[in-house]
Amino acid sequence: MIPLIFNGGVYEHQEFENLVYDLGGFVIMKNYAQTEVTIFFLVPEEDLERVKEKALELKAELKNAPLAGSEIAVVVPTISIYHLPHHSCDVAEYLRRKGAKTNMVGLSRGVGKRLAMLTAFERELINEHDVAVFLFGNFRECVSEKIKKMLRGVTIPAVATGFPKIEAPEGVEYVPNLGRIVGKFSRESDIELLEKVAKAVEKQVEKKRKIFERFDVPPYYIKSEIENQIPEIEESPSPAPITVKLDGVRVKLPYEKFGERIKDVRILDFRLGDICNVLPSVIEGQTLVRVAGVW
Amino acid sequence: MRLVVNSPDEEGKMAYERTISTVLAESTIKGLIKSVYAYGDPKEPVFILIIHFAKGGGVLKFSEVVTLKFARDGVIAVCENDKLIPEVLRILWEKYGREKVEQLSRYEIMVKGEINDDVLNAVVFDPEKELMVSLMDIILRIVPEGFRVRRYIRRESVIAIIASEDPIKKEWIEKALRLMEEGI
Repeated sequence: MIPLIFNGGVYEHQEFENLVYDLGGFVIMKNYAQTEVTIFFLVPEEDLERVKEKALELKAELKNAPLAGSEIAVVVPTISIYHLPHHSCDVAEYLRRKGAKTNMVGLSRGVGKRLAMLTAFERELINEHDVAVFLFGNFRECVSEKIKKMLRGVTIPAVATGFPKIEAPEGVEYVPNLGRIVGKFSRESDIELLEKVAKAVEKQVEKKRKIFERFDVPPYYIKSEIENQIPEIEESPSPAPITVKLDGVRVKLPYEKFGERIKDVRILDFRLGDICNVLPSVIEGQTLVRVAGVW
Repeated sequence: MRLVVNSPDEEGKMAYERTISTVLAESTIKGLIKSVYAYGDPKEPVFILIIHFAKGGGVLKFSEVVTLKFARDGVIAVCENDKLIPEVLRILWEKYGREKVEQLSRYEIMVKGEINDDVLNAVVFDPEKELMVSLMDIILRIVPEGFRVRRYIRRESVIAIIASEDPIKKEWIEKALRLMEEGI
């Protein structure tokens, strides 16, 4: 399966979606922006030519989406109005264009050198994602001290950025020269930095993807089955009611009300509750489905 | 305009030079700023920012920006400066109430009654106040956000900010005062 992004007009895009389903592919996410539509989807490798032909017919653009199907947390020490525009906005947007579903996490006590800390809620929230991207500042002393403090309780793969060139803790991908930048990323060197961050995230995603590849039921299949068997999901106001992650899916329905029904979803000959862990998310009104037994 | 950044951390110094010059370039009062000096030492930790600025012109009074025309049932105040009209309206509303003040067109305001001397002497535009608002905006954008303990020192046309995570030390204040007097 190859992950791709379709970018085109709303007119007859349904035909394209039908073709993806006919070829045995899956739609991960669909976003409307006025007369434009963006579809993140997967198709089998051998049918790539047919998809390209259809996109050409609809005068749409097809792009590779190396990060499709991953949920990434962009963690910033602060999102204060005085420091707008934040460089985190550009980082998150760049990762989104590569196919990722990004969530911005602004910390309540993230600023300062001595005072910086992650609260228990924030730590749990970050650990629900696939990869975390931590954005730090300009001074060597602050970055090297904070990087250790912030990443202590984080169990997922992480990428960190900061201006100084420092030795990052083991397992963390560090991108230097990207500190606090005021204003938009307009220079060519800035775009190169964003590309470096995307590459580092891609590396971490690939590592995690390899572990979960062994599981027989892929997350996008779970997503389509939940959509078919729980019609209430369509009423969710969220742009991505079921978010595909590397290790499962996030369903934007409350666990207390829908937990049992999600567990009863039929996947081939199994019950979803038997092959996956269905648990409440730390975010109110959301449920996590994590594939079990792959470790 | 001169910009000097000092720090024992060479990389941090480079990054801060870019940050400060971007903030200043986007500011509305960049023409009024003479020089900026910044000192950051994350080991202490302290951040000192000193801004020398030129003062704007004098205050503008109501009688200077408005011409009066007398009509049958009141006075028509004409102010042809778009930026000052909201302030002129605010002064008139405050004095006469909304029911007696009516905006006839873009530049004309009708007042039912007489305009007294205290309204004519009211200050419509104070450059000093505007300057301080913009200056505070620049300062908040530049100073690291984690340094929440701050001390502001203001002299005639210089402002110094000492920011830290810990209580402000005497030696930092002395350093800031010395730099304020010396200039850069």
